[in-house]
Amino acid sequence: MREPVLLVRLLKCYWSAMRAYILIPFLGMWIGNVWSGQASSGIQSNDSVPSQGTKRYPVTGTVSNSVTGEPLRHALVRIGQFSAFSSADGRFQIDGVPEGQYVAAAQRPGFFDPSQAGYIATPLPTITVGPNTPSVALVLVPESVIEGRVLNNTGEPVENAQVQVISEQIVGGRKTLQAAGMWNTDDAGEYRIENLVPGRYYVQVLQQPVFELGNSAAAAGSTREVYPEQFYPNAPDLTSAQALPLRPGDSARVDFTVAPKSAVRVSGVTAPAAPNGIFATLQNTSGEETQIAIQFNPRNGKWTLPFVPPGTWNVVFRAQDQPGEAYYGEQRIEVRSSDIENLQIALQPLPTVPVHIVNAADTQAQSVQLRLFPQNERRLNRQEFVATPSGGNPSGPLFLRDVAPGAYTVVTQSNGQFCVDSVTSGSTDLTRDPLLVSLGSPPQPVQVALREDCATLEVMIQPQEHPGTRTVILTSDSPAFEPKLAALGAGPSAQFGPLTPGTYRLYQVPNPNNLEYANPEALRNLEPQEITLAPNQHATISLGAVAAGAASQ
Amino acid sequence: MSLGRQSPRLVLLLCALAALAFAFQATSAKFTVSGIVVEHATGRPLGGVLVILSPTSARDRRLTILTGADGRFAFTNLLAAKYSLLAQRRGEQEVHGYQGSEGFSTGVVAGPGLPSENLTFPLEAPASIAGTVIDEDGEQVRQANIVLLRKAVLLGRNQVSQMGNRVTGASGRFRFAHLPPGTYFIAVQAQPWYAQFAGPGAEGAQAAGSRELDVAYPVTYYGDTTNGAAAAPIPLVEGASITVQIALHAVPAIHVPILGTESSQGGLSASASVEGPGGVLLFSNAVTIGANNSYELTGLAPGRYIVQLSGEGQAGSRQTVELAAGSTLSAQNAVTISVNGRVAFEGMDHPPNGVTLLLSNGKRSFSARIEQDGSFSFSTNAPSPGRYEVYVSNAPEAYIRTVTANGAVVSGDTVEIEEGTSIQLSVVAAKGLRSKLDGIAVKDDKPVAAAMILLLPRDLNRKALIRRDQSDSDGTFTLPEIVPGRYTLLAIDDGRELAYQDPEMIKPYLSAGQLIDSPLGNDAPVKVNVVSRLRQ
Repeated sequence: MREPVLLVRLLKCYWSAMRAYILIPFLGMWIGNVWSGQASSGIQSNDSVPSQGTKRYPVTGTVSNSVTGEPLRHALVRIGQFSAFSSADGRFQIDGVPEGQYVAAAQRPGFFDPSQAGYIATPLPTITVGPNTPSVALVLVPESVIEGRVLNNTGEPVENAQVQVISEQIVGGRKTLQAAGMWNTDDAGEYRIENLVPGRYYVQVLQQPVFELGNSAAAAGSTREVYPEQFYPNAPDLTSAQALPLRPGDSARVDFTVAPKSAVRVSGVTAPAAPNGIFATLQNTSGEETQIAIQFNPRNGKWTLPFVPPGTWNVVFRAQDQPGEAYYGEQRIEVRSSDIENLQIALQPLPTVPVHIVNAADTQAQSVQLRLFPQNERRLNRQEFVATPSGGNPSGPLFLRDVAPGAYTVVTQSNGQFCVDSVTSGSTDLTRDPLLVSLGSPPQPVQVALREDCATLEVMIQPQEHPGTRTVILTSDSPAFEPKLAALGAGPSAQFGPLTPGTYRLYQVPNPNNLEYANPEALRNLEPQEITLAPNQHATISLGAVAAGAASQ
Repeated sequence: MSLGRQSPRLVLLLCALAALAFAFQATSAKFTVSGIVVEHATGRPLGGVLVILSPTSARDRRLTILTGADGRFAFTNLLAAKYSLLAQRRGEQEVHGYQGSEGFSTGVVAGPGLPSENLTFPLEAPASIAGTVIDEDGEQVRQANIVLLRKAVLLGRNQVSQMGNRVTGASGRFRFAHLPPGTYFIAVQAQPWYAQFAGPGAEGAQAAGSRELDVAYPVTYYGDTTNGAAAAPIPLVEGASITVQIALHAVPAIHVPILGTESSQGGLSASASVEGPGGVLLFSNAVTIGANNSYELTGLAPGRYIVQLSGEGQAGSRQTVELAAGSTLSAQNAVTISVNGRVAFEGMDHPPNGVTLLLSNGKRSFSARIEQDGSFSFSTNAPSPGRYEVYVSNAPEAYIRTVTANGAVVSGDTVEIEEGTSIQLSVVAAKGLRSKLDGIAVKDDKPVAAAMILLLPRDLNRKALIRRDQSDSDGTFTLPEIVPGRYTLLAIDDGRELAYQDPEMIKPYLSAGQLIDSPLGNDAPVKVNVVSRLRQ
């Protein structure tokens, strides 16, 4: 007897072999890219063709591990175009380097160059090559690793479990979660995620059917079990998970024990049919979404979610039609022990919200930037929406396109001579309250009123007791105000404006990179200087010196 | 029996309804399929295994059950029918057929007086090969590409095929699990992490230290060799875990200018593969760099390569070359294979719509559209050298009667394509509906399960005509899609690893076979006597 299932396996085997064939060429390119990327990011090129008579000097130095201080052998050191390996004692010597200024960099597998080491990133050293070239002390930051095992409740290894590492990053003063690596466990249930920069990470094992191939296609009513998703440490969802802090060179062990839970099959039909396919996610009661396997027939819109664990879920469907219009549908379900059938999901176009700019002679689109940030930040790859002009006309009217249902903080920033007076949607004051978007009733257009009687603020720092650049952060009580940053060296001042008349706070920090400055809570431990600006006021403020490190987290 | 390909999505949609109907019918049934899942080598019962049963007439009505700690399973209240019986271990992707191999298994027939209970379903203990890749300093090599090859009889051919690939992580380790027993080879391809390849014309301007970085690892096989033919076989038995280590040695990279590329305005790209064990092509690496119509192969260790050039006016030309320091490559020397010809469709006014000519050897296949005048040309996807069977596809009413060629040796429907040849194929296709053949394998008039059933054409070189099945628990079998003609029907008690596509291997069995003219005059099942496997 011939077994189509088995034949499929056999063909899959060929396919995976074929894939190897296809993928491998890219590797060579990748290696090339990494290399050229490093070379261009770190190294100045005033050394390209030394002219006749240029004096050449040797450059010597050491390479060491930034954590242990141990010398690093066989690191590749580059001074401009010139390179050498470090010897067993971590020392290197490069002869014949023409005099000049260079950036010095070292490289070795398993280590980051300090300019790429996440939150502790520091610039690469610049050296002056000449008669008195100092010895160059280079450090490399060891990579961090998360490894562990996934076992089931009877102690058996769970193979092919997907373990995902999510890094908590602060981008533009806001916390975001980004997927940083994924690994499938091997037949011993083991995984190992390498090449992590120092930082804070969530670790997750994704939901996995106990028997994927056999059970996904099994008849309705068949026993079907899943290992539910789990976060470190033993948490059912992201909200209750803890971030794992990784210092350079840390090797953290995160083991999971997952117990099978019976899942049910949920099926139904979407209207319209979504010929380009569909994505489904399960949203839990705290708004976290996880993608879930779906079987879908694009011709008639019939779908089946073969493995839905018990609980209260919002099933969310996303699709796109040929012109690129985005569709969305959702359905709340209570999953207990029996299959759910015949759900009707209406796919509706996602709302597009017009943005009107008023009260200004010049209403050019680019004079105002408007962005929506979802209020629920505990979501992987959180989606932000930016108001953009329609149809290729950069000064045309602005729209927020395909906005998914949810609550959003509206953040505006004005350029030129105007400042923002008010941001509203119908009767909602968006400088205080969120913009609520739902499918049935799209929100009123967002109206940004500009005014001309703006204030400006010049900030100076008193002479520094300690060297280095300081960053000044300007915030306001309104969540709609995008915090403004200015880096100040010794002496000069920074100019902020145009600013809407009102009350502002000024903070002074050595390094804003790891500071969640758009979140008032995160700034609570810092001492602000408050200033109230009147219409048309051009104020100057002088900030007192702050002890070094006072503002670091 | 044979099933047509169906859209899996459609199938899934039907299955809820079908299962419901099936459940209703099942109330009047009284048969059972039951047994025990054991580990093949030890006979130890295996608990927690998913057993999947579906009627062969409706394979999407799947019933599933988990074996208990005693390894036992039982599907009760079944209708009398033929069932497909499969098993899957927890956490594994593989689904195993009952007494199965290579996509064939023994169907279990439930009915009055038929043995469908207390079956023993053995599963082979999974074996694994793990290893580490290190460099000459003994340091682990990351981002190394590992290809696992297995030498085995697959679909009746003795061949080496790729079983999987891995990329090493920081620890330089790789692991292949759930491997069937057999003979394996491992090939490794990597670049030194510090490698930096100088571009054309950069020779004189190379800065200090650069030469030290212009290095490459040759493709290296387990057994410490860079010669694919000398790769050391790794014998793997059921349940074994083998650990290997492979050391790479960097050598100065070669730079091979490609001459005669002045006309390549649109850019030229080249890839270089190596020939692994059994002639398998491995690692097609993009290896050109260049600009201003000056190109070279770079980042390669010296050695023998199959270089494929592509770009404007270079439709996939290929050459096999021994490359060393100082070698050059000529774009004009590149060898191309040209295959074209004509198919005459006997008894038809014109070729069926959408019909294509297919050249296939089980591992690779190439196809060309047959035009309305019967002509075809493999102009854009010329086959690589090798032996191929000729098929017409998308034409269920047509079958190939003869194949002849100018510029190539043809035996049966197999054409041998050599490097750099220009081949004119003449194919005669005739009209005739394909039929199926039902039969029963017997020994001393008793049905025999799990026998390999082969239908062999009189010309053993016409491999496209061979059909295969495995007899079910009641001895029955079905051979699908048989092209009209005279055949030998053969049943062999143990067909595992039998290279039946090789005429020399199968000839000794022919006298024990039964001559069949297809299509048969009637639908009565054919009885065939099971012969014992000859031990060569």
